Amino acid sequence: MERDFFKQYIQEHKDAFENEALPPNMLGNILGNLKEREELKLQAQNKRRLTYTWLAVACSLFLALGAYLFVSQETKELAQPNTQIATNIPNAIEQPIVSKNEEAPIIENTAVKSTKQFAAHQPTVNPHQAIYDGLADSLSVASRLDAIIKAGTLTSLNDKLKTELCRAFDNDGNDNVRLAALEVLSKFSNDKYIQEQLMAGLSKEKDPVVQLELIKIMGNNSNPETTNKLIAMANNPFTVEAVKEQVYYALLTNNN
Amino acid sequence: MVKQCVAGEEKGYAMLYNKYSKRIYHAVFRVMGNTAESEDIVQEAFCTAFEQIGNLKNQNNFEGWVKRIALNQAISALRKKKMVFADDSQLETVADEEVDISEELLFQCQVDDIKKAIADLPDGYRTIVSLHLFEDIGQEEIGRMLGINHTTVRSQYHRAKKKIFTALKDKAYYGT
Repeated sequence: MERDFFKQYIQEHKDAFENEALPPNMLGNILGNLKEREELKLQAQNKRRLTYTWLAVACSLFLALGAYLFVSQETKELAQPNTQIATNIPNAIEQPIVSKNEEAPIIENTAVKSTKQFAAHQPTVNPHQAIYDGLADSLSVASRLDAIIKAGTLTSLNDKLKTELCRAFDNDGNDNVRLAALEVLSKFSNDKYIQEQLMAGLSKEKDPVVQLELIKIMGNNSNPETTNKLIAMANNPFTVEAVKEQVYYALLTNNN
Repeated sequence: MVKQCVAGEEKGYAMLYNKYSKRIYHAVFRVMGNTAESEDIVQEAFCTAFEQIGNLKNQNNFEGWVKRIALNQAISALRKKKMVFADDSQLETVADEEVDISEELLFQCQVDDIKKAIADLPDGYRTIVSLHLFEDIGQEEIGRMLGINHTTVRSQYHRAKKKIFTALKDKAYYGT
């Protein structure tokens, strides 16, 4: 390789070729640019984050709307009689032509017969059985409440139902069930047996909410035993203040 | 210093800038031949370098790295100005003997005269001369940077050198 004197000369005197001063404030501009770029980056990141958030929200809404439409469509289809169910309607079968003389008695006889047979085979259903079953369902509070509500719709209670309702009022582990039973029993509070049970509840019941309801129901009772029990409640140090106040109110407003 | 920059400390940026900016600025200025554009390119190169300093593998080569960024930007800027680095490899047979200059003549010359002779070169020649003489970049590498054949680089370099010597000789003869 040939020797390049010129290049050698330049390399040796390079510093002399670079003796001019730099333009002023270049460093300031560089640092300023860096800060600007940093801010722009942050803004872009924030924008992106915001965009993703909106995108996620939009997707969620879209999915929810889609699910709603799908479900509502299904419901409509089920509600319409002329859709899938309509296709299962059996084709009309042509009846054999029967003469007038033969027709009437045959049809009547079968109709009467079938009705009689149906009535004969009907088991004797106890109308309160569902209520008894519901009250006996110790695993489901909802069943017991449902049974009590059904009992509340009755105009009268038979002895068994009274006993069952009073048992629920006395012993059920759930406050709501006891309250519901109390409400139903209060409708029939003129009944002697029910009245006795409710009066006994004044001393047995420990739940303040049930106590309050019971006092409201029994407060107007003129029976001196009830008054004694109310006074005992008022004197009981474990009775809650609100219950005591209800007792005082009942005693004051009791005409007897 | 590089570690300070990676940590985002302004002090680190300032120290690196003070140490290397002059050499990088002159390298760019020799290619561009224009103060304002050179300033912009150096600023942009330092910004890019400081932003991406975390990616620098060899921390001892910061100057070479920034200089290469700056020179590439300078070449891109020249291309944007529609400057074409002519691939005239068919004209490569420029006789070296025609370029005749002695060491004595060189030593008689002032640095400013040589600077002026280089600055007066056409853009393409000046770029090749600057990259080869001052930055010590090989002719093949210059060819890759400019997107031309290395033989073209070689021929243009010799022609540029001839022009410089002619200018210097005239200066010596006429003593102006």
